[in-house]
Amino acid sequence: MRLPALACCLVATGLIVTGCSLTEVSGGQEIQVTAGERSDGMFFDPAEITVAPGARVTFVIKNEGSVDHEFESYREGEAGIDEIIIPPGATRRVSWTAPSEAATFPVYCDLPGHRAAGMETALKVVPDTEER
Amino acid sequence: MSSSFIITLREGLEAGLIVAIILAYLKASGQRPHFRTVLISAVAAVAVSLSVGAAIFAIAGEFAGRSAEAFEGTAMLIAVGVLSWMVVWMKRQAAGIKKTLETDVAQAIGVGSAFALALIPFTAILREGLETAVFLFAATRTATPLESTIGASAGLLGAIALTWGIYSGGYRVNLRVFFNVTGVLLVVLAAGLLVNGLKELHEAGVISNLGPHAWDTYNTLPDNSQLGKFLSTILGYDSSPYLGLVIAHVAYLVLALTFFAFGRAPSLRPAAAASHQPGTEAVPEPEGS
Repeated sequence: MRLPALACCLVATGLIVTGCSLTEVSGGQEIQVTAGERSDGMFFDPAEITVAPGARVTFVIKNEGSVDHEFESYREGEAGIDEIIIPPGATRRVSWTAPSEAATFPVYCDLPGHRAAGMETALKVVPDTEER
Repeated sequence: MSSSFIITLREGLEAGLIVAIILAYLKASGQRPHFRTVLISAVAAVAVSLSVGAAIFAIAGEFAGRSAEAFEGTAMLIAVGVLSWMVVWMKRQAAGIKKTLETDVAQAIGVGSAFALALIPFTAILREGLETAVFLFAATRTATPLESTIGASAGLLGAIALTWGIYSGGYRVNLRVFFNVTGVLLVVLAAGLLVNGLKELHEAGVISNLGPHAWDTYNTLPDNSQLGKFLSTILGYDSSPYLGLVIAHVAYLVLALTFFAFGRAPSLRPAAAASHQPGTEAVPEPEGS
């Protein structure tokens, strides 16, 4: 194979590999989370998520409700999960790496009134948790 | 990072050209002793701009939660307004800035007032500095502090190098092309800022309804992937945008680019005329504000 052709192949392969990694949200074990509304308010299910220190996980959040919801924990001292809006019926993925020490963070929907209606889950980093 | 780079490169070059125009005029008219006044005044304007920028960031730090989102959203919309004014409407007036600066400097020297002379570069550079402060604050809301710092520093260094190269005569830049290209880029960045600002105000509850989601391209390009985040910062990309945001984005782009394209022609004549003033050929004239 001539040098220019080889270079083109390498560049094309690089672009494909890089392009995939640039548009993917993945890593570690997937944790399924459901968001929605019910008669007594709004919810994330499960209401508590436990991960091991340093674990890389991907939350897969499905909005089964009829209105928009958010999934976030980005204020000072929180988990550092940027907000993402989940339209009704849609699924969104969020990758996150747990800190190396034990901690508990609130993850919530920050749309007006939603957190007060119960839309919050506790994200716990607990040593001796089975590595995900 | 990219938006911070473009902002400081363009604004820094504009501020640098203002100093260069004044220095070139003083040099050509045998007024070199006034160099020091101009340079001290320029440094003072930069210092005041930095202070104002620091104050904006400090004030923003006092807010939390929904009030922080409202503050950031408002700051973004102000930045869009400032930038639109700067790029589009100020273009016509800025075309004569070289002649105006030289006339003002000649008058200040004529009455022998060092303060009046110092005030000319101070006010001109302060305007550029304040624009940069507001726009950088808005741009950093969607990028990490490290990315913004690297981008802004690189842009500023580039502006200083370009200004020095142009002033010393050793480096020729087609400023018309430079300001046209960066002008269009800034309009595109401003459109992204408009979308992000409206989103912040919506999340803060200031805007109650932006309509239904227009489409959903999350499975093709997630907005929280690396490429999605980059495009979100630069262009305001959203995989499932509200219809209101789409309309605002398109309307702004069409209006701003139309004004930018068709508002330019009349301004070129005085610019061309001014560039032929005796003793002023060394420094080309900026087209933007």
